[in-house]
Amino acid sequence: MFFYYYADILYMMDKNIAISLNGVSKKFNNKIIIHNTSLDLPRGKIFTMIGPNGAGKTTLIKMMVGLLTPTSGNIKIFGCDIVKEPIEAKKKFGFISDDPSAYDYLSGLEFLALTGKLRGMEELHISNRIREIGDIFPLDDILYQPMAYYSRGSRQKIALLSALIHNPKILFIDEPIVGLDPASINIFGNILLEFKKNEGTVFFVTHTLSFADNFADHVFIMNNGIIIKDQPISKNSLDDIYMDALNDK
Amino acid sequence: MINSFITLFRTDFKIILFWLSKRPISKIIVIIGFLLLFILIDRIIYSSTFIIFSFFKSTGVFGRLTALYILHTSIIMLIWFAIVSIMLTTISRFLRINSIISFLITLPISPTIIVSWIFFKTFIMNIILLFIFIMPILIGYANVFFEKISFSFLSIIFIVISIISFFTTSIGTILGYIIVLLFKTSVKKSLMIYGIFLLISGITIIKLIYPSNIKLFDYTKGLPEFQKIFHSLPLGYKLNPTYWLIDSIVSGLDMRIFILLFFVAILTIFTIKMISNRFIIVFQRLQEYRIVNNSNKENRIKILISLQELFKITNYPIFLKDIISILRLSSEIGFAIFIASLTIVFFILNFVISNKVSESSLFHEQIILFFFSSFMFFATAYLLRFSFPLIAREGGSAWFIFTQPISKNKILKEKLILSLIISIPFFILNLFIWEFYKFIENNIFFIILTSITLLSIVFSTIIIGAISPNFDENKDAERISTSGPGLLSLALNIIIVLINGYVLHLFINNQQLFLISFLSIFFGNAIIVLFIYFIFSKNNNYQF
Repeated sequence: MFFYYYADILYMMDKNIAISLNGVSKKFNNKIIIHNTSLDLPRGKIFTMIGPNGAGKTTLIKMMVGLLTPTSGNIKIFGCDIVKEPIEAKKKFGFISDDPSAYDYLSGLEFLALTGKLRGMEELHISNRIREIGDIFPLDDILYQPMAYYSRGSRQKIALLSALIHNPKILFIDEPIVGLDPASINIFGNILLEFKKNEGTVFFVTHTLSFADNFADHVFIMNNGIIIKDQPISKNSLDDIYMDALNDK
Repeated sequence: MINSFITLFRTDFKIILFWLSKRPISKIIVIIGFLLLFILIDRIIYSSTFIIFSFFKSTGVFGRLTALYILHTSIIMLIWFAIVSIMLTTISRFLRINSIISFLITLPISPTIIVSWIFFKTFIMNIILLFIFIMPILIGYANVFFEKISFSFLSIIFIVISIISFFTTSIGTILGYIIVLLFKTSVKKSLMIYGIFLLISGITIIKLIYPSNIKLFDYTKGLPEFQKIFHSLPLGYKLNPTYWLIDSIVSGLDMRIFILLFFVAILTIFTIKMISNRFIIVFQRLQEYRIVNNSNKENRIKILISLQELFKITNYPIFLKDIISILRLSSEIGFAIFIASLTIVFFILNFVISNKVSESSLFHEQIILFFFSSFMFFATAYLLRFSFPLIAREGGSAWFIFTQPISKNKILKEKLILSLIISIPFFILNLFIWEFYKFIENNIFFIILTSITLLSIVFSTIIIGAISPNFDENKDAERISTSGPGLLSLALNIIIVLINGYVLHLFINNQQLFLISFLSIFFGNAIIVLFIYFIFSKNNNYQF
């Protein structure tokens, strides 16, 4: 009886864990880039990872989304191993790269329709979702143009819309606000808050401490492939946390 | 001024060294591979010209004049080829976003330096390619008619090829620049005009090489009459400057070559001056035109809306995306026009000459094998440029495509379908192209064998492109095609063509149908099935 009760609790806990890293390491040419990292990130929160250039942040996020394979350890997205069950795992998240360029010859609308189709959505569902999320940013005048003519900020906005099109449970973002104007940064941050309110989990990597300070709940500070600090953020505290962590190191 | 020019070339040299320093062993293998490939091509060209020229030598003065005509024809064809390829390079350079030129025009460097640097880089590439293709023909000629190759002969060849290279680089650059200036608001119009120019100039060249009065040779009696007809032909005309080039190779240098040297020097200076005068303004305006042109077109919007709808209903979204990339990217359309026009001009010339030569049944097998291998050469060039890079070109969008919940096999399958679709023009061409050879009575076997070989090449090209895709070079299809795996794909295609060519040889000579079918199906295709199995089971290793 007790055993069943305990298993139930474990199952419920597991369901609450959106992203789980267990002993993840990555080596490139015998150089260790990520050292034995373990994390359990629950749903309904915004996590940020900061650290100096070359700390291993982008490598870690690329492993989380399946662009790189860990040398050891495993990464689970709502219990699905990203290496062993990539399709199931990828259904659950959206990702925005630090360089959001893709298929310059497609228009923004075509790109969104392509994403919807690759995500397995039905025709009507794609049209409805494009209508719903199309109002997030004022993009009407450029949605029909090939993306080759988009500014860096417009590419970032289209990338966010494409990451949201299938109503994912997790958003992974590498550098969320590069190239965005102040008003769009605010919209972007509010979208993340809205996403969190609906039990979504956000994990983003950034160098913009003010954005992380305003919108993230929890910070990981990474240096030389090791998470050196892991703590909740209270308003306007991130600068001090970051500097203390690097000085302690 | 000269320091900036040298610095630009030194930077190019450093870029090459940097490229070599990354995975040097594989790069050296690629370089050696290409050298061996060029040696093989040169050896084949040399051997065929040597055999042909030896045959003509045995027929005395008639043969010597005919050999001279063939020499002239090959040089005219290479001049045409060099001009049209440099035109395409020039058009693409202006119409594509070029980050290096964009950077250079922000520096305090004179436009003359930038234009000269571009011009001489093109000149160097051009002269290397001309050497590769002209040298074996000229050495073949010299070995037959002079029986030894002297230092002075090699010096003359060097001067002649330099003149041709300066001439073709200048003319190709000027023509490309004029097309861009005339049709600056439309990439498609520029490329269409380029295509029309290619076809018209190609057909003119054929008319020049094979004019109607060439038939008079059939009725000539005696050498004086033969010589009279020879010098009345456009290529035999003594005031034709290309005739001067040929004459200097055969008879030694004279004043005419110095006149040509002076002419190409003036032409080169004129070209650099003409383009550098308005280079920065033209470059900036083209960027502006492109942006304005793409933001104000309602009909374009309608097309985009319908394609967006198509994305929602198709089960092959990656295939549709790739089709759009071919139709919308000027570099892709430009190359398609280039290869299509070359194929058409080559085959028209081939039919005209082959049907003349085929009057003697001695050459039937050679004509068939030559046609088969040249058909496959064009198909391979086309597929290496379009099919081979299909996977590697995803490198720039890897963050997107490889984080979607789709299997890599689905991506591969759609790329394979695309490869088959884009090779349809070659399958159609194959269906009726054999009809042109009047001496072939039953062409079914030829059509089937060529189709099987083509199918094998389509499969092998896309599959080798997927085994080790060069994701880093995703923006440059040419670089992807000329990387190590590109060379491997080319080698595999050559093997497939050789095996099927051997089957063709067996069929023509022995009619051993059972053996032929077995060899064809087994070697030509079973090897490809193995590759398909290999790649579909090992394709989970892509990392970014």
